[in-house]
Amino acid sequence: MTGARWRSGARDAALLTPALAVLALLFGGAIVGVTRVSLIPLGQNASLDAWRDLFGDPLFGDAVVFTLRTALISTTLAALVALGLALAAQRRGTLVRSLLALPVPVPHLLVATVAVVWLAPGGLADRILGGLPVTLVRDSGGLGIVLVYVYKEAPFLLLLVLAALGRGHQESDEAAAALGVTPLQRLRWVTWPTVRSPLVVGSIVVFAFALGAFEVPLAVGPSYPPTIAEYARQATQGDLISGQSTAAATLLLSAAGSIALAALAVRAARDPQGG
Amino acid sequence: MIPRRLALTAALTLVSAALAACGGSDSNSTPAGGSSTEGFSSKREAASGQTVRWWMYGGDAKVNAYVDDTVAPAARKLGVRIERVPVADTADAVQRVVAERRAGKTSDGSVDLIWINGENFASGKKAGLWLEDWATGLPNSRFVDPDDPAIRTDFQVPVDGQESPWQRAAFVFASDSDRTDTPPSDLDALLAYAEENPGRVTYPAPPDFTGSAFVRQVVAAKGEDAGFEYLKQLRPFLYRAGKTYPKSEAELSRLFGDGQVDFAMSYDPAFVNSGVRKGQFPRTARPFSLSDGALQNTSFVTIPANAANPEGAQVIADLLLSPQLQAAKADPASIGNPTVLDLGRLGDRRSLFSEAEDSPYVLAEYGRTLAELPADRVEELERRWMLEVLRQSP
Repeated sequence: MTGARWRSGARDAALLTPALAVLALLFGGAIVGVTRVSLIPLGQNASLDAWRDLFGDPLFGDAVVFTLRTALISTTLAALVALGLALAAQRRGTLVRSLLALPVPVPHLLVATVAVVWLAPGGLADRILGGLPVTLVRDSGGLGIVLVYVYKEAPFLLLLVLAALGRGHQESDEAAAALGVTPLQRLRWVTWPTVRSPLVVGSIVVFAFALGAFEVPLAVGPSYPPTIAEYARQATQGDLISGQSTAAATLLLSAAGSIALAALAVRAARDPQGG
Repeated sequence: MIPRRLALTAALTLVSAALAACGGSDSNSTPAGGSSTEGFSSKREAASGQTVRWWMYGGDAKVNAYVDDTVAPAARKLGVRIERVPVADTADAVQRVVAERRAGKTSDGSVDLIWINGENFASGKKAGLWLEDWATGLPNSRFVDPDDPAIRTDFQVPVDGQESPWQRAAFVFASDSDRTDTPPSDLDALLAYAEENPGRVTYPAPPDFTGSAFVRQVVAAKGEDAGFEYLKQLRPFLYRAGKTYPKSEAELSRLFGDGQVDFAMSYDPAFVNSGVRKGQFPRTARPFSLSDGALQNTSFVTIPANAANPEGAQVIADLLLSPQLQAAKADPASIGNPTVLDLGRLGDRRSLFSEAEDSPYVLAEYGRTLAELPADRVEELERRWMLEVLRQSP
C-alpha cells in the first residue's frame, strides 16, 4: 500500500518536473535578477536607495491606490455582469453563448486602441459630436480602464460560470422547483454554490491581471495617477540608470502581490465552496 | 485566455530579466582616440561593407524619409549600409545598451549609432556607455564652430567628443491665422488668452518630450518658482479644465488640426511645415515664437562603446555633417531644419543654403535663445510638475 502510494507520488513528481524546472528557471532566475537590479544600480555600489525612494515617493502611493481601486472595481463589475449574463443565457443555445463570448479572443490592446480611436479627446466621436459630454478615455477616475476590463473580462468569467451551470445544475434546479422552492431561494441554495468556485477563482485571475498589465492603462488611462506598471515604466524613462532599480523594486512588489493572489486562487480552486 | 496571456507576458519579462541578471556590470569603454583625416581614411576602409544599425526616434515621417532617401544612398556610395531601427523613445535605445552592458557584452553590441541628446546622453555618459574622443576627429567637423555652447555642450553637459552634432531644434508654437488674428506675444499673453478662451489652450503632459520642453520653456523664461506659479494659474483654463492633458505632441497636433484647441507646439522648428504638408494642419497654420525667447538645443548622434560597427557609425556621423546633406535637410521641402554648421566656415558651399526657399511655415528667426537647463534638472522638473501641477489637478 505504502509502496504503491510512493510509486504514484514519484510518477506525479516525474510528470511535473519539466514544468517545474522551466518555472524555477524563468521565475526563480528572474526574481534573482530583478532583486539584484533593485539593489545594485549600474556602475554603483549595492544600496537600498531604490527601495527607500520607492516608499518615500507620494506618486508611488497614489499609483498603488489607483491600481488597487481600478482592479477591484473592474473585477467586481466584470463578475456581476458575468453572473447576470450567465443566468440569462444558461438555457440559450450555442449561438447566443458564442456571441457573448466573442470579446474573449480579442487582444486587450486592440480593445484599448479602438477605445482611443473612438472615445479619446480628439477621437472620432469627439469630432462627430463636437465634444463628448463625458470623459471616458483619460478620465482621472480610470473609467476608461474599468470599461475596457469589464468588456474584456466579463465574457471570460461568463465562460467559466456557464461551464459550471451544466446539466447537473439544471437537474438540481428543476428538482428544487418541483419541491416548491422559490426562484430567489434556488439562486441562493442551488445556483450560487455551483458557480461560486469558478467565479471566485476566475475573479482572482482577472484581479491579478488587472493589477499587473500596463497596456490598457497606458492607452486609455489618465494623465495622473499612473498604475503600478506604468509607474515602473515611467521610472525607467525618467532616470535611465537609477530608474531601472526603482522599476525593479516596483515590479518585485507587484510580483509578490501576484504570487499571493495565485496562492489564494489555488486554495480557492481546491475548496469546493470556492474558498 | 487570461492565464496564458499572463504567463506569456510574465515569461517574456522574466526571461529578459534573467538574462540581464547573468552579466556583470563592469564599466568598460573603448577610447577611440582623436583621429586625423588620414586616420579617418583608414576608418573609411574598415567601414566598407559594414551595416550600421542606427537607432532613432521613428515617429517623424520626414526625418525617416530624409534618412532613407538622402542619407542612405550617400552612405551606400561609401560602402556603408544603414539599417534604421525606429524606436518610440530614444530612452529605449539607451535601455538596450544598458541591458547589454549588464549582460557583460562589451563588444559586438546591437546598437551602432543613436540619435540622442539631453538626459539620455547625460545618463549614458555618466555610466560610461559611449565611445570616447571620436567626434572631433571627423573630417566634416571642421565646418562646425567648436566654441558654440550649443555644440560644445548638450543640455549643459560637456560633449567631450562622445557625440557629433546633427540637428538644431527650437521650441515653436503654431496658430491658425483664420481663427487667431494675433497669436500671443509672450507667456503672459498666452495666460490672458487662455483666461478669455477657456479650454482652447493645452500642452502635452510631461514626461512627454514636448510637454517637458514646454515646462522648461516656462521655467527658463520666468524662473523656476514663478514658472510653476504660472503653470498652476494656467491650469483651470486649459482644455477640459486641466483635468486631462494630451499624452503626446501628436495628440496635441490632432486637437489643433481638428480645431479643438487654438495652439500646437513642438521642439521641431519645421513642424508647421510638415503638419500642413501632411494635411493635418490647415494651410492657414503659421508658426510663432514668444518674445520671452525660444528654448533651443542641438541633437547629436552617439556611438555606444560596445558597438559592433564603430567605423561605419563614424563614417555616417561624418556624412551627416557634410554641407550637401545639411543643406538638403535645411530645405523646407525636406525637413526645414536649421543647420548645425557654421555658415562662415563653408566658403563657396554657403550658396547651398541660400537656395532654401522662404516658406510661411518656417520661422526665419526664433527670437531670444533660452538655453536648455542642465540635463539632470529635466527629470527633477518633470517630477515637480507631476507633484505640484498634475497631482493637484481639481
